[in-house]
Amino acid sequence: MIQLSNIEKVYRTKTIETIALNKVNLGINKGEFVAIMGPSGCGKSTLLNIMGLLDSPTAGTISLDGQAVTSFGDKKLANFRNKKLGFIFQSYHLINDLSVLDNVELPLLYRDGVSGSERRKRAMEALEKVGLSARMKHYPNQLSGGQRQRVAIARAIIGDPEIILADEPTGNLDSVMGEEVINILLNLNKTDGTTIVMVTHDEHMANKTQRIIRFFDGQQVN
Amino acid sequence: MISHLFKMIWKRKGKNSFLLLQLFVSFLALFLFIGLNLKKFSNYFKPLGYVYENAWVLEMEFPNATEAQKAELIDAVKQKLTSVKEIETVSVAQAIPFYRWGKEEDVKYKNQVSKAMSFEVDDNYQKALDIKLLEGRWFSSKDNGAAKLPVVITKDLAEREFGSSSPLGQTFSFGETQAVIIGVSKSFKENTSADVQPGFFKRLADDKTVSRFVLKTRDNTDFLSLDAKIRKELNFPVEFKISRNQPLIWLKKYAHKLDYIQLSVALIVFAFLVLNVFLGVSGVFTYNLSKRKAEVGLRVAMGASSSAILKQFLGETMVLTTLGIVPGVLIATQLLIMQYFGSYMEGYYGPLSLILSALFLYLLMLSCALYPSLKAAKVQPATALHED
Amino acid sequence: MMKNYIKIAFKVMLRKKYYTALSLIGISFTIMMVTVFASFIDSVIGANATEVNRNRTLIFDKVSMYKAGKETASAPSYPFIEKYVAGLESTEYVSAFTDISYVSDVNGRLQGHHLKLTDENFWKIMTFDFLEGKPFHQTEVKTGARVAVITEKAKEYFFNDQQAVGKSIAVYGNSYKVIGVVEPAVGYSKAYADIYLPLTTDTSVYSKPNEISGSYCAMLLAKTSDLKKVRTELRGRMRKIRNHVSGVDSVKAYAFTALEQFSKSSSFRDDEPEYGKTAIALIVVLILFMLIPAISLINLNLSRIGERAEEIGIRKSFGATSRAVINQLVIENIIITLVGGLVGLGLAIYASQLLVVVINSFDPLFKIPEGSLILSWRVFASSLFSCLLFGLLSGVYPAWKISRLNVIKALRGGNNL
Repeated sequence: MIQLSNIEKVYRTKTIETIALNKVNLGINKGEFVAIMGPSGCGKSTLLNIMGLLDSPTAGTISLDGQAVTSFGDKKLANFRNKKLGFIFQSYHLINDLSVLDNVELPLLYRDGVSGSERRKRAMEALEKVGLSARMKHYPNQLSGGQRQRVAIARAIIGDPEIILADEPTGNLDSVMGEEVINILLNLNKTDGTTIVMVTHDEHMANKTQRIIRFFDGQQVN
Repeated sequence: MISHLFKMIWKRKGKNSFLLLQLFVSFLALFLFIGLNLKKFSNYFKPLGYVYENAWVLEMEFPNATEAQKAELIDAVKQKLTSVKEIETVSVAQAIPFYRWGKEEDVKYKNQVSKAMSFEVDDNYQKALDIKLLEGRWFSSKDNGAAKLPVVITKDLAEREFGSSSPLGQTFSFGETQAVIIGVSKSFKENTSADVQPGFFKRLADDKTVSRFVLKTRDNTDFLSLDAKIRKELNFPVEFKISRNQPLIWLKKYAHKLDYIQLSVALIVFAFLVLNVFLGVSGVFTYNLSKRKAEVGLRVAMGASSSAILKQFLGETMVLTTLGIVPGVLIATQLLIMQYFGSYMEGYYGPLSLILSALFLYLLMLSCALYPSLKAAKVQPATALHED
Repeated sequence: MMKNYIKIAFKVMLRKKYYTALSLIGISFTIMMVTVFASFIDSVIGANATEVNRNRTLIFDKVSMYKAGKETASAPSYPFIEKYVAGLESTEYVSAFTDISYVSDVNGRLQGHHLKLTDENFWKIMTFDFLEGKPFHQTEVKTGARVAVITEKAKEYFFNDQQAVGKSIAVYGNSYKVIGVVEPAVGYSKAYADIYLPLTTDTSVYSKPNEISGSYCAMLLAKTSDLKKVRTELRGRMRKIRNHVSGVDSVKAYAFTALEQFSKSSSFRDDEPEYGKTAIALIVVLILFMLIPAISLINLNLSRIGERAEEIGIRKSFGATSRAVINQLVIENIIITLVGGLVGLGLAIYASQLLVVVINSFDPLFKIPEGSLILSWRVFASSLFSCLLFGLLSGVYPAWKISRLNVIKALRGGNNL
């Protein structure tokens, strides 16, 4: 499903050259739930951004769902992200000026040919899956952290993506809320067969996944 | 998408309150500026209805002469002027473009009273100023002793009073006078910036002692020598004074000096206000969009292309502008319905000013938003999302 | 503390170049417009080097004649002024004048001249600097002597650099002997002209000695600043004459100073001017005009200060009170406004010259002198004052708003969605 070969990422300023990723080769299969672990600054977030096509590697190739996406232009990339990928962030990144329902609808807004009523219907379905149907008229700042993250998950799954990329989804949550969130993700993986890549600090959460990939100084360690 | 933009802006209306206030005030100022100048400006593109380039104006005074003596003197002036070889036509007139305009009269036609300008001129006036006739003829010595006063009406008066039927031979009255229409001329305008007023030329009575002349010259480029020639020719044993002896092009210059000054001051003020709005709004947009980098990153992650981001921000600008000017448009419409601005914004000039000012404001806002939006569309999503 | 604020203000200006540039351009153009506008108004109504007594010089330029309830208004004639207005007890001098224009041709070079026909008292009311010669006196005015006082500009045109007094100029075919050369007066003032001639050189001035209406104006220099007294006396005289003048039931005379004429809301009444209404109207127009730049500046300030939320957060977390934050930001804003204002004043000097050039370009023959819009200290002070006011007004609201900001939020930098 995800195939990274010889990925390098170098950040250059005028004086310093920082190597974030150094020749990473990685394959993730369809339907797998993988956790990426490692200390701060080891390059795991950079890796997730590259997998999510939010950042481009300095060298190397990525193939997602059998397509060589490295050569995609802006339009094609946007379209690919919209249809195949779903994102979950540590700090939720919900738009405070939009209601829960409108936040969840967001990805479908960038998809052609989806009517307003269908967007609404699918957003309600997605919210049901995360158990937040009752909150759809609320605004993000009226919700708890766990609820916000569940909204973010609903937003990530509304477009039926094949891959979900989660960047420390439980990082800002207490253990009870974190448990809720990870259970939703596990359930998604089991029932819908969605491929999930999750970056985490939490050994306990990581252990619930099928495979743990450990990173140190921009390289995979086993 | 529009409703999405609307929701975003509506929730931000508190933060945007000063911007909305700015839009509201700017719209009203723009509307006033355009509305009060549009009609005058459009007048510049309407024809005058006469040729002024070769015309010359002569004004004389005979302070001690009796009426009878004056009439003789005026005849003598006409004779003497005709003998000057540069002068083609000599006409006596009360009304002269750029200088002295006609008199407003209450015109009565079929018991309907309305206002029209009257121009008291003689038989040669048409030739002196090359006034084109659309129908009928100008008055001449044939009309001596006519029972009703022969008049030539302008196209505008003909359209207002008679519609599409021919006004020739029709009669109307003003004051005590009965007039018969013998011709229709093109529109006749006081000066380049003046409104076109409906009017009519009435034949100067024989016993009137008007000592104001419009001359058509063959060539008035050397106006100094012509001035001297006319002065030399006009010599009388009684006391007299030449109070004006100038080509009409000069009078045109004097007549328009104030117009031009007014228009250029208005333009300067306009440019100044536009500059201020541009600066203020540019600053706000730059700031607002720099604060929304994370949102841009998120939208990109959700599958928005950079053109979609650009469209969103420009769309937001349009929605914001609309919100800002709606109260202004309502007030302006109300003022137009009340006809608060009178002749400045009559007919289609009012709505046109409204549309033009709205359009201008949209363009101005888009130009303020373009650069910050382009910058926002190029934001690196990875850095934007991890900035905090 | 103040020194610290000023230092920070300049540092911030340099660091946030983009916002500084936007603010400075906005402020300087606003102050430039205000200054040019004010100097124009000042030249129309204010005292200047020539018209030092402008605040007690009344201009009498209109008479209304009533007959059988019908009113006709016009400028007064010279005989009327001489007979009924001259020698008012409450005035020091009364001078009659009229302005006409004349186009001359010296060696094929055309030039328009503003002529002023006036009497000997004109020179007593006005303070002209005579570069050569002297003004005309009573005897010359009485006899209708063909003498002329010309300005330096006219002298340059007629005689180049040579001495002018004793030489002759031709006006409307007559020869006039130059007896004086003066520095030009301010354009748009009642003193301004290129050539001054005794009004009796106009042979028709007495041709209708009983006519009230004519083409003259009078200047009445009041003895004291109590202008009411002059008008009351004038009204008294008008009442007396109503039966002497045939064909007229009553006459009203309108005499006001330039400031009163400017501020009088209606010119159809001869009573004392009311300042209140005009002041309000003027203030409303000015506020409308200034509202747009002011809101622009508030908007810019909100953004500029918003950029510094983090700095404010740090200051507050180390114990700065809201008041201290407001003080700092307002002082900063006043400093940036003053810098912009000084730039604007500099621009105004060029802009007013440019405006004169533009105005002159519409009329190639009659030009107003280049120095017509000179920045007086009054204008300078009022511009500086409006600048301060501008800075204060546009600074307070944004500063107050940011001072209420939550410290935690401010420290986070506020880059949230």
